[in-house]
Amino acid sequence: MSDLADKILDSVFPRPSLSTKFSGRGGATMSAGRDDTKDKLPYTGTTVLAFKYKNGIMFAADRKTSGGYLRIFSLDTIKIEEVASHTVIGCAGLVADSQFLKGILEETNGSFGGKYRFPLSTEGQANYIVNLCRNFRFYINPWDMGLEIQAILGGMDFSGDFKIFEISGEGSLYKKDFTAIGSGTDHALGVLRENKKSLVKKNLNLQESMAVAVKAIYRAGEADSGTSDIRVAIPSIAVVTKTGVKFIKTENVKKVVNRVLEGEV
Amino acid sequence: MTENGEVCKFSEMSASRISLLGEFELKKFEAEQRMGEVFSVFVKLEPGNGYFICGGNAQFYRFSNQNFACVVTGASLSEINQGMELLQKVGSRISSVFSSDDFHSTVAMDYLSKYLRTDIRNMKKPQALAVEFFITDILGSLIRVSFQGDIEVDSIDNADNKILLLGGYDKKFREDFWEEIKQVPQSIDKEKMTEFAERLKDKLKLSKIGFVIP
Repeated sequence: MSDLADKILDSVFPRPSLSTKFSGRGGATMSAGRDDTKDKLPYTGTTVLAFKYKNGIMFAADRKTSGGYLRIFSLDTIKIEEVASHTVIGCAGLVADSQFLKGILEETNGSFGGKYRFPLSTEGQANYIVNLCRNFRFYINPWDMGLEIQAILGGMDFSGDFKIFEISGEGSLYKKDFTAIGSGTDHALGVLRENKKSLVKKNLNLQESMAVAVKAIYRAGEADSGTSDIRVAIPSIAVVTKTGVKFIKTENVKKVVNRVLEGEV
Repeated sequence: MTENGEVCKFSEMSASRISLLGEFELKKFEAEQRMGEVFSVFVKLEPGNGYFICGGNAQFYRFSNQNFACVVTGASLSEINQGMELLQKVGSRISSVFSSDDFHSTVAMDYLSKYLRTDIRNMKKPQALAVEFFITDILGSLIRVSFQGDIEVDSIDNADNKILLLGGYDKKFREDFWEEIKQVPQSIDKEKMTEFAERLKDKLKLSKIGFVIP
């Protein structure tokens, strides 16, 4: 019974894998070569944050895509995306890796929902990404640290609970009430921690939450070269509520940016 | 298709095909016989809820999580245990790939049906796994998975029949059963239910009977 049951399980719920198991190439040589290159590899910077508020979850991100330490690719990038009807993902790190993950997540959400008539839970999606990252690290790219990304996944479950998960490229997963990722993490987290009581109690309204989010991105932008300055690029803000995902209009974010710059909040 | 509704004429079928079909029918017949007096019934109550009555010659089991409840009945205790193992297997796999919150009724239904369908057609196994599942979920669906892997889906709110039966394949048993089940309690009343269970047990000569409130 066991063999047949396992075979059917593997066909219905295959464990996530990126491709066939790695074999053949010399790990040690590659490792030495890759480490050398890695020192010279430019790292991309970003600040993405998420926290729970009165009506759900708020996501905010800067707009800069940088290539290495000196080059700015774009000041108009939207780094937070809706991957399912009540789920948002925000990524920091290599653009290619984050686009790849978003694509896989959208596909998985679609096929699970279509097949079983229930949406995937936020935790389910987070676990799926984590399994994928671990698989990448263990089998596909064993000489390196795995996918070069950090991600925040947040959303509402079928039961109506709001959940936020922080995921890192090597495959770790944390459940959080508020979090920030990217090169501006420390500065953004500083602002979030100043408001820790309200964030844990989830009693901020939309305007108050937007002020906290913009202030966090502002602080990060001031000190981190990988994060855009809010005076140059208006941050993108999205909320996940019981009605779904909504991106806040730029004009409305701009009003909050002005208040923050004038020191009103 | 021939005039008689057969897939093809008997003379056109190869010997191996006849033997395979025969084996399959034999396995099905044998499993039906063993499940002849094993049943699970959902009694619909107003508004939109109900309860299960399960009975037979072996103990039945209840499996539940936050998304659905399932009653497992079978011809023997070992087969019921295998049924429970299947549920636990798919549950643990989905927990490791996704999360335990994603173990929904439809996930269980799909896997159980696929397994049972493959199992009964596996000619290397002389006996089919005589185990059946009656699932009810948070959306009010009633899903019946028979030992052949066939699925029937009803909704508690829209089901035409007040009583939904799974199992009880013996013709004589089924006739007697329908006669008795007419007097089933229409409310969840412990005394009435116990009285009804005792009567049903005596009349149908069942060794086990019980209620499950999902």
